[in-house]
Amino acid sequence: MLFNSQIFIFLFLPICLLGWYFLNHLHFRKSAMIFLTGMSLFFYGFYNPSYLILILGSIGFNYVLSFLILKTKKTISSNIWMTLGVSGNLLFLGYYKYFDFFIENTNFIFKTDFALQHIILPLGISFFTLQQVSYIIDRCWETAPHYTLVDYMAFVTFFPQLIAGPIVLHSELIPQFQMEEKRKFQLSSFVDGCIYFSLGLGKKVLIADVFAILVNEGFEKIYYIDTPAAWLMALCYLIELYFDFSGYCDMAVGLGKMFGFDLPQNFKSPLKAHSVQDFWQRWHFTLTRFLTTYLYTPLTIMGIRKNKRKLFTYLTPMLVFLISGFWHGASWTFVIWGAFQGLGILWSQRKKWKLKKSGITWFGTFVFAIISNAIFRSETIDNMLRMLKAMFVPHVTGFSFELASSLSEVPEFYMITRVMEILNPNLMDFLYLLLLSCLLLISALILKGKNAAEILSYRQDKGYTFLFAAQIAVIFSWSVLSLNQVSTFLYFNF
Amino acid sequence: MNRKFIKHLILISISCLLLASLLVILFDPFYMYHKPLPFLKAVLEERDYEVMGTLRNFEYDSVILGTSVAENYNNHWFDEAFQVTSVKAMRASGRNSDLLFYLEEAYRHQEISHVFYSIDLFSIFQPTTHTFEEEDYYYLINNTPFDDFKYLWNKDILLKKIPLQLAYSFFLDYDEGESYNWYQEKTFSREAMMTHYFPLSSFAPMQEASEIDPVVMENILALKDMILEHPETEFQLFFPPSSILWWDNEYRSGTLEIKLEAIRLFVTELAPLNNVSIYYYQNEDSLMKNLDLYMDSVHFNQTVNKTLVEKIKEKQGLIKKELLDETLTDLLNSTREMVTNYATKEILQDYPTAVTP
Amino acid sequence: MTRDEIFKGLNEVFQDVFDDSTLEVEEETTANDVDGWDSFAHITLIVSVEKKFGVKFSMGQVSSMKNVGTMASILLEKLA
Repeated sequence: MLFNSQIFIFLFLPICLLGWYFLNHLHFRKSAMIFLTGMSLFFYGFYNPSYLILILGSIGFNYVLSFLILKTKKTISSNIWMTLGVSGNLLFLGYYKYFDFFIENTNFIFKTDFALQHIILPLGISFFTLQQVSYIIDRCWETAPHYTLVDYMAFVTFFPQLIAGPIVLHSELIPQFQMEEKRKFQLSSFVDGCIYFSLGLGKKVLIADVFAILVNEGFEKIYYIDTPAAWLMALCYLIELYFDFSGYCDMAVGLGKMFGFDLPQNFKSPLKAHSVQDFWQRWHFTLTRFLTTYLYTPLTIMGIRKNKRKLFTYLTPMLVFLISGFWHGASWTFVIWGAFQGLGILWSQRKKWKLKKSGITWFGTFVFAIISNAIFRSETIDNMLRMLKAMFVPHVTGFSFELASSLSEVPEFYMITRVMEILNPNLMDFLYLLLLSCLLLISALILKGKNAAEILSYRQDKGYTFLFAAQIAVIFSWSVLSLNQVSTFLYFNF
Repeated sequence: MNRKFIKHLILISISCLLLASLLVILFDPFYMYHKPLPFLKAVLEERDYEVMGTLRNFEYDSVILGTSVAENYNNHWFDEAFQVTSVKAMRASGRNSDLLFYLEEAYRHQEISHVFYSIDLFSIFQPTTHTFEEEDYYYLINNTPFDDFKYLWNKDILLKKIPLQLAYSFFLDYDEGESYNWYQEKTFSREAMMTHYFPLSSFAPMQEASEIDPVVMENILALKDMILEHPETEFQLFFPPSSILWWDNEYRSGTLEIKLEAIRLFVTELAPLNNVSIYYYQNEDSLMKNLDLYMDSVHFNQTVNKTLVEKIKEKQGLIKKELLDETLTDLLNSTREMVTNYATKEILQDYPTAVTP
Repeated sequence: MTRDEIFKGLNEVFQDVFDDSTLEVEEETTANDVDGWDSFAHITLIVSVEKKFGVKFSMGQVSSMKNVGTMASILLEKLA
């Protein structure tokens, strides 16, 4: 099920909230947890119930492992369990996410002919696998207790964070499950939740989906792009991705708050960053945190203890981001993207020529993010090269005008473009460019302004005004009206 | 303060969504709830969204049924020729069963005196179940009110469809008879159609008439049931012409006899019924061989539509019920001869690019 | 070793790692409070603390250091 659907907003969510608070009101605490888990599993299996077996299998594997760690504490070294747990989870993820990629490359290199399995990536598998890897490692490091099955299942399946993050740690959520005061309906938390959710929904539906039109059009016609178009597409994709993903995470945080739980903030105005390192502390923060805690820190400490300080200083950031790239998707373009991030991190760790924070450091980081996203969005190496070539070998064909004209699909622009078509068709190109500039300007203002968390804390200090309620309500309603659209058929679709 | 805020938030959201719904209900551009308001024109531009509403809520006594080939009729031609008020029920690449599904809906709402059905040979070879349930706009087709929110809360309706309806009603020329017409956007010429035609270079062995798919008969019987159920309606069934190149392709693919057999079964089964007239135009030399009338091998321009209405009015091409078998054999022979004698080679010489390697 | 002595030692390490002789850390000090305390500096810090006090932290201990206070507690436990 998607957050941005009426069935979720007006049916699933209210039922969940009512059930949860009703059961807790009656002090049926365990039943409330089981109810929440059941609803989350329904949410997960809504489109494809067969995936339920996968997630339940994954939970079962890790829970049994945690149990074995508890029981064999004195007899078996935790290193064995860690190896088993991590490799088990990675094999599971590897099969569903990377099997075809592996076969394809094997076939290519060794001229073999193994059949592709065409495995469809199960929903959220990358997220719930990492989450459980972190739990198993924490169990082996003796920083996590063995939880009850009910708590553990509710934690992994908790639907606000199940499908696309944030990557919530057990230590952030399960203690909240166990707090008595969290089980009572808190109006203030619920209000915050509604604001977060509405802002996130607006980001996704009103901004990201509009930029997506232009970006998709560009990548569909990638053979025709010129230099301005390529930069425009990469910039628009950066905006799309930011609003899409951070919008999703705001919705997740908002949903958490409606239940009274605090989920970690995944985005902290990343496009205000002044270095690549700074960027990754602000963009998809919970992933960075996972990689730092479980990969970067242990590896680097190990290297320094073995007196290979220099080598590991350079090697680990690179390795971490290569893995991060590969985690994002089974394709060489993601690996290259990861390497590019690694280089960016190494550059920002340099000791010489340190720059003070200024417009230049911000702009440099911003351009770095644009180029990164050009790589990130390209589905194939060919398209990536095409994109980079268009960006860095200047040539102009006027394709940007055609790109901008895809905005005619945006319902908000329909009337003005139709009227202009009748009044003066020669000015259409300029109209589209004007509309695009307006969109970019609006996005820039939003990006420059307060982020959702800042808006909320500002409002909590100043108090909610009627105007603020009206703004949030309009964003919410307008987003709801945007969830359904009728595709305008091309006239001839026999 | 929180209490007040949440109250405001909910009230304003409800008002916004309610206002949006009311606007959609008032103007109702897909005619889900009512016919056009008195001061608005019946703007019909997107058949898949609008046919169902038209059938449910308009006032009419005749239905024009057909696939894309039939969309360029002007409703007024039928209205004037037969003294009726007609609406169109069209489905591009539709099945016979899709069209019967529409017709059934029409009978639920109006008394129908005439049905004008443009028979597409493609559609009677299709399965006998309708295809609407898979469509993402099924909420416009079915009768449940629970999914109407997809129509009521829809900014495309608010920002595109309602303004378009208003613009056509007040500022632009709009002929209500030209519902779903598309000929304005297309080029009809020999040159244009040859870019869509790729003849097979060799002839496949001709299949026997007896090898015809039984689904054709099922389709015919489904239509027959409908006709028998409604003796009050006059069914005017007609076979519009297809270009000679369409027939040429059937010939080369070895399915010519199958197609002719379908026509034979159709006419034999339905022509004897009292309230049925069948018109045959698949042997009209001047309409089939003049390739300048076409944009591809089946879609002709509006002058052909107009000619057909005039012919139906004058009862030209009407298959006489007496001596049906003999008449039918003659008709089919005339088509067969025209197709098999046609010198495709000559025309292909002018368009060497049209030949597939 | 007392908690005060540990903090004295920690302050020396911090001043050295962050190249700031005025830096004074407290129980509640976290990475957010010190300029330049990023994940790499964190590692340098840990290794330097290990050297200074002649101990070796386990990975679990490293990951559970939420602020300077927890670091001090872990040291206290190890040196006891």
